[in-house]
Amino acid sequence: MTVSRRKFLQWVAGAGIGAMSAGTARAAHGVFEGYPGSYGVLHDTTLCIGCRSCEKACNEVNNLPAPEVPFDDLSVLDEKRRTTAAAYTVVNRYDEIEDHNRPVFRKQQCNHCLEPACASACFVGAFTKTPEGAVVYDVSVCVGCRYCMIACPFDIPAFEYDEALTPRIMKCTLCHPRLLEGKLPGCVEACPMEALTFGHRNDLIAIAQERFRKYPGRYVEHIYGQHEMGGTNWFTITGAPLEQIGLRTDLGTIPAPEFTAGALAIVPMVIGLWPVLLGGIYAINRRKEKIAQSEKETEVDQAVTATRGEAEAKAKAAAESFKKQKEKAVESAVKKALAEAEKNKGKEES
Amino acid sequence: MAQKGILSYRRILPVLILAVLSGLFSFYVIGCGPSQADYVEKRPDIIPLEAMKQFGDLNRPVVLFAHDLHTEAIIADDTGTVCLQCHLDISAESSFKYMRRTDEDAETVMNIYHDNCLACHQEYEEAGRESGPLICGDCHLRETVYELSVSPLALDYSLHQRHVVAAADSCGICHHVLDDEYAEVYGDDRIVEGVSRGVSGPLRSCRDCHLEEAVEGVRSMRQAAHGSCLSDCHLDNEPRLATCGSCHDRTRQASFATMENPPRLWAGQPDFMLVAPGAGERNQAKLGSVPFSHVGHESFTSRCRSCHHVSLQPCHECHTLAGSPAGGGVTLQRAMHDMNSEHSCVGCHEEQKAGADCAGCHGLMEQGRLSDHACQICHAGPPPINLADVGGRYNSLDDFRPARAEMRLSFSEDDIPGMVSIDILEDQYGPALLPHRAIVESLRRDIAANRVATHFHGHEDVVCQGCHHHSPVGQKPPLCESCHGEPFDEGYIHIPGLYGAYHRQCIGCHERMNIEPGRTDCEGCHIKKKPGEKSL
Repeated sequence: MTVSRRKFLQWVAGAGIGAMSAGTARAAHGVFEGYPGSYGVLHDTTLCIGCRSCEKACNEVNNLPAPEVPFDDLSVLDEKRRTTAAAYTVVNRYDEIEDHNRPVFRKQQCNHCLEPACASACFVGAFTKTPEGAVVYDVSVCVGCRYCMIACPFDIPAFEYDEALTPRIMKCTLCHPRLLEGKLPGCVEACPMEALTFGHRNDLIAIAQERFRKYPGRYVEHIYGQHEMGGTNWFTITGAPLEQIGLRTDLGTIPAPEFTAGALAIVPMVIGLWPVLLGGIYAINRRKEKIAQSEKETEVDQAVTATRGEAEAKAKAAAESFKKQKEKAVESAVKKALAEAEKNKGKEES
Repeated sequence: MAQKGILSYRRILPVLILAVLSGLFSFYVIGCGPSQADYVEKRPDIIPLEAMKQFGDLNRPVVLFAHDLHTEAIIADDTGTVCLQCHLDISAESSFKYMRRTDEDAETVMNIYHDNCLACHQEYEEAGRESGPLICGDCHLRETVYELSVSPLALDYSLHQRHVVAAADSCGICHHVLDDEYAEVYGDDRIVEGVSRGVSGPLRSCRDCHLEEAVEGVRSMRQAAHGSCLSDCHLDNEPRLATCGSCHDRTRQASFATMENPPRLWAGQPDFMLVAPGAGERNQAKLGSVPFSHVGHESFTSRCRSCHHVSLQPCHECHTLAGSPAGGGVTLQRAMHDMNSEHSCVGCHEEQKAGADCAGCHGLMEQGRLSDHACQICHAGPPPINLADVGGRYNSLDDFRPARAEMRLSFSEDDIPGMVSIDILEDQYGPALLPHRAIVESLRRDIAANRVATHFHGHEDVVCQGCHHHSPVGQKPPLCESCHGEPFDEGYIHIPGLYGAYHRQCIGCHERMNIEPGRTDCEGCHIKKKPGEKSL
């Protein structure tokens, strides 16, 4: 098969356009708005008093190891903490907030993204977004690569580094098993201020907006998690500037998988295009070789023909001269024989 | 070899160039966006030197001139003629242009700046002193390093009185309009009244004539203040006030000396009045007039402009029932009830409710909305249409207040529960003991001690509603658990559960009223049960 360069480029262009149109179709499909009727939690920092009841309840319902410092010791709030393998949730205290004469407390845990970054980074599919809204983890397939920890924009998943043989990724489950039993998440149930409100995601947005309306000026009128990273099932509302209580404002509203989807969308293109590309290169190289081969063959033929001609001519000449010599020899032999016979005849006659 | 390879250098070069260019472009977008310095200093003295703009496009960025840096350097020299180092004259009428009176042409103006600025910087440099730049780009900065932040100077009752004392009661030093002009405006009676108070007339505010913009030969307030206050008076007596920051820096303003109980300023205002629309509109107004103690409100404010935000005219002169251009289209209703305005009645009263004494109860209530039954508390006066007939019948707020006896609790104080044990949620902790009567008494004391609170709470029974909200006023409010049950009821998403409602109300009130704020340990209110203990 011979492939011209023009033809090859046409193939490549065709494959590229095909891949591009696949990408366009995907973008038009839009953002996942969450399972209808999924649940979530609204954390209102204007109500949170930093009592750590939520941390205690979380520890108990999830059978996590006892903490080094008891939960009623509030001195741990002097330092900023993050979630660990032994603490699915932590409350941090933020002092000296603009226009606040008291500190602001913010609870931190898995935000249960609508389209989780952890799940999109996990190549064994250990994370599942359940219809209830929780992002749950399946240890049976986890290979311990910890890509989820790197992917999470909120720094939530933690790893059991001290488990030598069966380390797990540890993070808030939104008490998914309890939800299925019709119970509230442990932290929500324990919160004395109802600073954590449990409900349907849509209702939580309505509750937050009602609070903004009812108390103008008390809140930064932004529901953190409504759109961040494509939306989450956990919301935070506050009166403090978001950055000052450790809420990232640089995340944008595009869900994490959307970023990787672009790159992953290239995978079929690579799979489809690679054979075309490699095949094309192979075909062209083959063609080059073939042309060279035929050129070479022609040359050889010519050389052979030329050589053969010369040889034939030589041979012919040689044969002719041999023939001539032979004829000469025959002739001289005949002449000799004739002369001998003449001589003998003369002797007999004499 | 007749054929070239498909990935030959010449083929791939354009792709490489594109890639490098797009890389550079994204770097440009990320790294070199709008030129904003990492740290922008907010100063009250930043003057952008834009005189050259009138002659066409500029070749270099505008210089952001920090006036005080220069004034302070010159004051340190103690030359005695601080302003004249840069300005040709500083009379009240002066233009304050740098080293010139008019802008002749581009080259002249540019040279004036370059020659004089650089000469001075050079001089300081040679003297080994801290100096300004000598290189173009160091003044004509591409980055914005300064931001203008001027805190307007408030001539409050205290600062006014300090000036009265300093001027030895010579009002005319500032109030320069002649007495006979006052007579023309107010008539002789007012002048006589004024004289009886020791001044030559009902002196009016600067802003009655000096408006935001200059009109018909009358300087703007800004020009008048800088020309007359600064140039004609302060610079003669106190050259240090030549810096912008000495008047317009917020922190320095806070350190101004204040006078205790400055005397009342009098500009012909009444002590008591019935607030109503202007005479021409009174027949259209439906609601009763508002009895208003002007003298009382003077004691709650720090200056006339707390309410009279433009001039000392009565509100209805600009704010009409349907709004007028003079009032910026703001109707009389809005002017009085706008919750977001610091000049409106309601806006100011809302601010008062945010104070620690009031916020305990009011912080829990819905805000930003007028309650429907509050109208009559203010609109208690006769209908505006009858105002011409009431004459001098009403002379104080007391004429409209019900007798104190009528406002007392409708039940005996002994009927107020004393200690209340909240045990309905008893579980790991014992019941919370609430000193109910002590709390009621404390709230009643706070209200009685506050004139505004006394007036607006009306009947003393309403004190119960601080906690027993959304229920009828009276001795027997409904149980909390009538409304607050299990949390997160889908049918009542805005009503907290009982557990949340109790904690929010108790802890919220303590936080807002600064009563042991931050006391959030459970054992502050509850006694922890021992393991196995059923009930305390």
